[in-house]
Amino acid sequence: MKQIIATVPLFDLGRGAFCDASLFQGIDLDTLRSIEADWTPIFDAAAPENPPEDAHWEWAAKALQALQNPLSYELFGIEADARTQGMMLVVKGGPKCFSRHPEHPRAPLIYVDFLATAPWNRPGLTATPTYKGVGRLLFMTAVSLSIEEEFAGRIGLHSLPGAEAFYRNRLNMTDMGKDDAYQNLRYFELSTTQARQLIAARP
Amino acid sequence: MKLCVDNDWLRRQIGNDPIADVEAGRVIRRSADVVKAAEAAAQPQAVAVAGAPKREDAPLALLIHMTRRRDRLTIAQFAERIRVSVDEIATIEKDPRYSPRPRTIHNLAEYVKVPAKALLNLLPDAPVVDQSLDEAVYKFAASSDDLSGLSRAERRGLNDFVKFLTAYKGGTEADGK
Amino acid sequence: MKRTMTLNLTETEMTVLERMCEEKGLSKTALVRQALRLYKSVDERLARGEKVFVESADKAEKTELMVL
Repeated sequence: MKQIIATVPLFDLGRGAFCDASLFQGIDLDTLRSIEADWTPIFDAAAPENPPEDAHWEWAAKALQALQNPLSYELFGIEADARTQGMMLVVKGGPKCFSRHPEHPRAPLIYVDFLATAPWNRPGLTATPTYKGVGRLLFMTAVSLSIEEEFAGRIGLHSLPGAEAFYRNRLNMTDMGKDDAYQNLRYFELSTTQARQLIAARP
Repeated sequence: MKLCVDNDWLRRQIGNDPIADVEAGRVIRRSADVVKAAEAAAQPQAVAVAGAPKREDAPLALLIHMTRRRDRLTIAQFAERIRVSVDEIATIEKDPRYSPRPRTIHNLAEYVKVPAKALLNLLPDAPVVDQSLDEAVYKFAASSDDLSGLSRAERRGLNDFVKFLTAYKGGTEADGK
Repeated sequence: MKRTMTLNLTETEMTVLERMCEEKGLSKTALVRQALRLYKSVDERLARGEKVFVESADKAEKTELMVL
């Protein structure tokens, strides 16, 4: 089930002004269609890959049914201009949801399984990105869920190489180093203290 | 769910954020990636343990295969002899990642005349904790070649490996207790 | 929508629950929710015929997790 949680600000880089976007919880066929129709051709143009064998809508619709009432994860999306601007999947329980931070070893946390923005919002893919703020919005959504689950805002994630500076410097997460159990990506955590400081931050 | 910060806070922070990549976790290029990620999250994968190498070879499959050839048994005849299903023996020989049921291990150990515990160390999910076992497996694998009937060298390789397993004391306690 | 239930626990079970809540900084509801997620994920794997192992810190010992 997809439901709107809030109207949030997104910075339109073309106009140099904020605009309204919708923050959604859950996923529906429209979101999947938007990703397939809007995102995939751009990615494929940048670096083609073999299309997956199972990219049929019948399959997607069937898969969606199973994803309707999740116990261990949540999906969130940002929409603006009738297009999906970013998506995030977070895990709420299981082996990845134990903190590795020295401040509170093994404390429960929200693990960000993926945080992905539309290709036109990625400076690594386009010289003139469309929107700024998708990552920040999705990340703060994960922090909010962590608070609601009584995990005090704690977050864990594996950053892709181009995004490390964002998580380290802008969100003040602790860089726990390369994780050789996860393709050598660097693992970052937002501790209880860091979550408190982040929310209280004044620019 | 309610956001823990308001839109003023978000505007201020986003305004000051650099234009930067923000991607984390698995790579999402198409809708199938999203669905697969959600399915995987619904059934969490165990966290891979760094530095705990898994067996890539299939010593158990090889042991069964060589024993069958030594005793000139088809899969069906061998399965009957050790009182397990034909399917299971065929799967063990075909799929190096397949972990047989405890009863199969027990009956197989009885047939080959080695301790069941030693066979547990040949399972795909057993950690490699002993170099001597590793070397014995390697030597055994190197000694075999898939010809009909066992050559003298293959027979020696199989005998040496069974002898090693019989005397083997190291390894895991993974016997399901 | 959230639903409410009463949970009957023995003295020992309640002591363990309270101690873990204290340690993890969670309410009883949140702790039970986490336990349920973990239990379900392990149980589903076992139901599919998979095995769950626990490895000792020095990696010398690996024991199979049996859930009854």
